[in-house]
Amino acid sequence: MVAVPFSLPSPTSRAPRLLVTLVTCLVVALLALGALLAQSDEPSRPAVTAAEAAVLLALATALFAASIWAKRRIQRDIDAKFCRLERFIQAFGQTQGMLRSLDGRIVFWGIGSERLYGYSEKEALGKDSVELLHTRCPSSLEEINSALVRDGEWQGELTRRHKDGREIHIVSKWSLSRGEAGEPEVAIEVSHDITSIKLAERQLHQTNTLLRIILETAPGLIYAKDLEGRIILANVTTLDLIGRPWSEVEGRTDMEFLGSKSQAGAVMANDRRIMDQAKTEEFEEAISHAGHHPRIWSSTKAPLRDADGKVIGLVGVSVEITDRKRIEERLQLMVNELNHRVKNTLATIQAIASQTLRGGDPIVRQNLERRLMALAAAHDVLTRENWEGANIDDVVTGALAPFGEGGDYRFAVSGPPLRLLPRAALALAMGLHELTTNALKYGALSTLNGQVAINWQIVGGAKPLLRLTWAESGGPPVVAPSRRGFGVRLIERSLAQDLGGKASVIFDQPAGIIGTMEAPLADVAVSAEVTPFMQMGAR
Amino acid sequence: MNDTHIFAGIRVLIIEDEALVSMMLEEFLEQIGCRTMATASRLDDAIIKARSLPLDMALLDVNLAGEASFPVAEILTARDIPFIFVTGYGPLGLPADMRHIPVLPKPFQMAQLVDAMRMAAY
Repeated sequence: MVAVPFSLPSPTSRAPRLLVTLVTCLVVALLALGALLAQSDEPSRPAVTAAEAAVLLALATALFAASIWAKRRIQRDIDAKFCRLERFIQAFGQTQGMLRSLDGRIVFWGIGSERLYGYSEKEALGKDSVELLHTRCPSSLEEINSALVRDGEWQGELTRRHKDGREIHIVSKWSLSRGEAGEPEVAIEVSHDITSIKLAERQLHQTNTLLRIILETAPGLIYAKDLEGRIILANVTTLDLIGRPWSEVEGRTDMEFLGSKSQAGAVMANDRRIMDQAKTEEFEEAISHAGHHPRIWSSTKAPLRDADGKVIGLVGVSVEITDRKRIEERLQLMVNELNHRVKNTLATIQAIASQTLRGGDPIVRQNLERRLMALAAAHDVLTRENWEGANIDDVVTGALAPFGEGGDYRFAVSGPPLRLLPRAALALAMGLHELTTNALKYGALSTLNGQVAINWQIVGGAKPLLRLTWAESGGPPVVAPSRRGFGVRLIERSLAQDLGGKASVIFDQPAGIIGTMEAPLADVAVSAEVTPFMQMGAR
Repeated sequence: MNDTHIFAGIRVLIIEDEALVSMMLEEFLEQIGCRTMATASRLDDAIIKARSLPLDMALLDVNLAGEASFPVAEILTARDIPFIFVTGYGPLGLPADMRHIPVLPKPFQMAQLVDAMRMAAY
């Protein structure tokens, strides 16, 4: 069969047909006239009178007119049908429809197909539809064709390729059109692009698989409950803990699974509250499941919403932290005990010193006592912060506190907030203590009007520094001592060493003592990235 | 510290398991004119002394060789004898119903001891 564009034959022009009809009518009229003349018995007398001829002519004319009228009606009918068919074909072309011969050649290709597959009518007509579109069918084309011939139609999903190479998924319905003799003539194919649905399906499948794997492998409990607290999802770990198969868990509540009804009631009331408030919550809960010891869980529960955002239940994840909790508690106990020991030891040292120096110089005794107190005060700050660091403000205030009786107005403390590492906090506290003691004895604090300005700042740069200054004013004229005392040495040596920086005490004669301390910020401040506990022994 | 005379002559019980700290407390008390009635370093001994001695004040170490001294605190409370906790733990180490008792954190100076005693007395 030769592939030709499938189109309707154009209607033949009206003029020649009218002429044919007119001639036919005249011929009929003349023949009738002839016949009448022939039948005449009297040749002398005209066979037909003028009146008879007129009747005949009128008859022929009427016949002619009736014939024209009939022809016109038929023509109008044909035209109307033709127009409808034209419109139908146009509409069919808009759908993703095509017609092909049974051997696969494309014989009709509409704009819808062009849109779907990218090929123009010119490119598509006469081509083999399987080859052109890289059609992949669920079964062989022969089978489908024989089903088409047998049943008159076939429907299924196909994969084809767009002109630009991308894969298209379609669902296609094929119907068989038969010729006049009933022989299979052409297959009408109407297709729907379901690529996006297919992709969504694939994604959904992937998501489902991922979710299933997470549910099956997560070490914690994963579960979902409806508004009534009935379980609608539980992972393997949850089922293992409950000790029942899914069939005996689905649709039931904690009332059946927890150690006691009162506990189940409390859990369900809490679930209810979370659903009512529609807010995710994270908390620790101690729960005993039937047949198990009480365990501590770290749970996160979130409202479960439907597509419209309405809360329809709750999703929960619970991880057991019983052991971690026990270790944490033990560790906290040890830290408390250690802090207690440190303080007790300081008290004992103080007592030893007190006994040893009994009857000696009371100033010496007091100096020692105060240094121990300064150390203890710094420890207090760190203990409060669990040895994770201390605010520089607290350290400074703590170091000055024992001397505050004279009025805090004597100290002007300023600087930005900063978290100090434990080591730096201790060193700074001791250094400040020495400076204060010295100021009380010889410096600005030994007079009524003397003042001390303590200021720290962060000096920027590639490696930022913490710079702290102690500046005395209003005291008696300063005289540099002939020998540097323990306090000054403690500041300059120990402080510098512990902070990894520089420290100096300047006897700025005669204005007052100026103490400066400078250390790399990274060595003294708690950085956000590193756990301070780990940094303690770093240097 | 000018009003330390208010403590002159009062009878004090020292309960402290660290002998040196106990001695230092005794010495501090002596300086402000208190009479140390007795010292105890163990819980059972402390209980007996807290029950039986005539007392105006007690200094109570929280941890006595690993045992909490709260039973002694209860006896003193029942007898209406003011006391202070002397401890290396902060106030957080105390049970909730004893948080109002003054705490003297170790190590301490004379002035702090007197402050704590004053708080307990009033």
